[in-house]
Amino acid sequence: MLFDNPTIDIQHLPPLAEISWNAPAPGHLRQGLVQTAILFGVFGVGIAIAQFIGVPTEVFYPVMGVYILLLTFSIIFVIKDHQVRGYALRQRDITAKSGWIFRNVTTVPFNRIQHVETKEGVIERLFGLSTLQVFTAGGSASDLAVPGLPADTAMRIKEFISVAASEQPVDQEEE
Amino acid sequence: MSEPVNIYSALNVPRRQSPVAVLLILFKTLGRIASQAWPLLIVVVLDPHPPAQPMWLTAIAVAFALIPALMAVVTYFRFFFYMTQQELVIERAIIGKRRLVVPFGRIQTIHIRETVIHRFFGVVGLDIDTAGSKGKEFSIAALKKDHAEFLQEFLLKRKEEAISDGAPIEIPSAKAQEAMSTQPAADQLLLALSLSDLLKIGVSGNHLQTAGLIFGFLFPIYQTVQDALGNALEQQIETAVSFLFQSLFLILFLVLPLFIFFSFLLTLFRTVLRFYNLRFFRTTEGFRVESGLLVRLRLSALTHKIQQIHWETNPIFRLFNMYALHMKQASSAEVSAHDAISVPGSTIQQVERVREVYFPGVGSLAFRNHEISPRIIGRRVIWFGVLPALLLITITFSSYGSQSLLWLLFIPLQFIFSVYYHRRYRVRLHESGVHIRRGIWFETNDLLLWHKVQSVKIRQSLYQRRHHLATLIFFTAAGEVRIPFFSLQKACALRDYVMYQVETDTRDWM
Repeated sequence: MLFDNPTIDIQHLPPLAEISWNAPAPGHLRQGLVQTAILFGVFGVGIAIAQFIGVPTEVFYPVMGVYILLLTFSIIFVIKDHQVRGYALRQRDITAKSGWIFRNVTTVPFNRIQHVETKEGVIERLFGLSTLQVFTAGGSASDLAVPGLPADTAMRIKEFISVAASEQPVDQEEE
Repeated sequence: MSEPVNIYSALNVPRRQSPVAVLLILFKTLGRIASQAWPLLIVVVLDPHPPAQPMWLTAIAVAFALIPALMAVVTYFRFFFYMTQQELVIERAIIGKRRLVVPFGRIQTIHIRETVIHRFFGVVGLDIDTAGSKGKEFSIAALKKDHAEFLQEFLLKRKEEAISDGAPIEIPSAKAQEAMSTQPAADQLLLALSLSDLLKIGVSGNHLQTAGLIFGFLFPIYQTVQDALGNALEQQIETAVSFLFQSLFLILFLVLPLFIFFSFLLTLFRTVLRFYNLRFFRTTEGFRVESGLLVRLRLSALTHKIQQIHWETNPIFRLFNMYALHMKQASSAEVSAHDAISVPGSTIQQVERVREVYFPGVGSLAFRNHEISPRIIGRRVIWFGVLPALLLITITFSSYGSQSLLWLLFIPLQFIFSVYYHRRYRVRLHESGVHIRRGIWFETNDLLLWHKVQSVKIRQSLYQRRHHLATLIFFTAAGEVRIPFFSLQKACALRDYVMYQVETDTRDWM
């Protein structure tokens, strides 16, 4: 076979563990909290109307309890999620970590990327943020998303990855 | 090949399908309607007192029935395909006009489909799948058989060339094409399943899955029939059912064996339908499998398109030294069984053959064995032992009282299995790939080359984080390979190594 594959010493591999993580912008936390507030605000209005119409208390109190429980959990979740998230760019790959209960660290090499997108939701735009999405041929579970990036940073990373992804890896043997 | 000129000349002239396509499209549409509306149809058929219908209602029904027929004819006349220098072009114009252009290099798989109707008219269907976005796959309903085979071969060859040099390709003259297609096929038969092989596969089939199918199928029928026939039948069935469920004895010794027997028969039936006269070939570019009784499927896999290989065995297969072999290919949609080429009833020779093609030298290479953490035992006991036992106890406690505590025996049993499971779990690492073997009764094997990896994920639950363990997941274009409960340090080192391999490897993954 033409392909040459020298033995590698594990010690000399560039370890991902030593890289420094970039945290999402502080606006990401506020954005998450606003999103939660809107969602629970709508539910809250619904419950208030129900109370006003006159729902029996034995229905109202359990519903209220569940509401407060979910609200508390959601707020904790948003804060934890913000604290955990991070991303790191290297010359040839991008890595993102996420997840409070289940911690995921996903690495996608640039030469396997199908395409890159930036996405801005309505509330994200209010905070000047956008989400970077990286798609591979490995199906939705293998795709990578970095939310909470300042819009211009997201654009710059997207450009960087697009250029890097279109370049073939350098092969010293041939040229 | 009575009309070679007709078949092989002018690939760049728009062509229609075989006229048989009208029938096939019609059948397909009717089939789709039937699959949506069959409860309604059953009610209409079973209704003992059909209400008198006014004339105009019948007229409307007939008009509606004519629509699919009309659609089929229109589809036939307004469906063209042809080839340019670098692309396959399909033009469909039923209501809006749609032009689909597929560069040869983007074609993923070309499958030949042969149903009973196809065979009756001596035609075949052609399914073409492309990489990437969903909904870009399309099929040609009917083509003359030799033409379809020629197209399959031609397109695959073009695809190869498009990928290898990226240069535009001359469409060969009619004569050259003829020469190409009349070349003796170098296909080598690796395996042909006999009827007794089929029987063995059927016996060891997944009866639980069949049982689920029976339930899923019978329950709606029962409901529909009940709706249609009213209370009389319902009461009869209900007395019968309540009588049956009165005694555990009856369930265990009559209903269950009967159910298993029916599941068994149905599995056997499905096996024969799907794998009848299975023939497994080694072709010049990869592998080919043909099988099926009513629908004859012909699936091809190109060597470099195979992303990962999976082979498994079960207690009955092991008696006959048989394996089910799957070659997983890149596909446009999420990975489905359709895109994995499966060869049940393979012997170790066929498995070796495919492994050798996918991963040269795999048999003689020195793999290094690694273990996964024994903590997986505790996790398995909790998830597959304690939780199911508690669930079953809560369900059965009201009817069987303290007897239901017998489910607790499930926990030590699961413990023994899990200890054995952990002991047998093998992660075999090599510079260029990994082989994972796991399972007690149902041993499964996954083989993956590093350069096929699309992305890597290290996943840790709270529990795993406390004990510095991780689940390492490699994604390929045809699925994933997992290493659970691996030490975090090893997982990170392996991730770094695989990333290095993927990023410096100049071979194409597809």
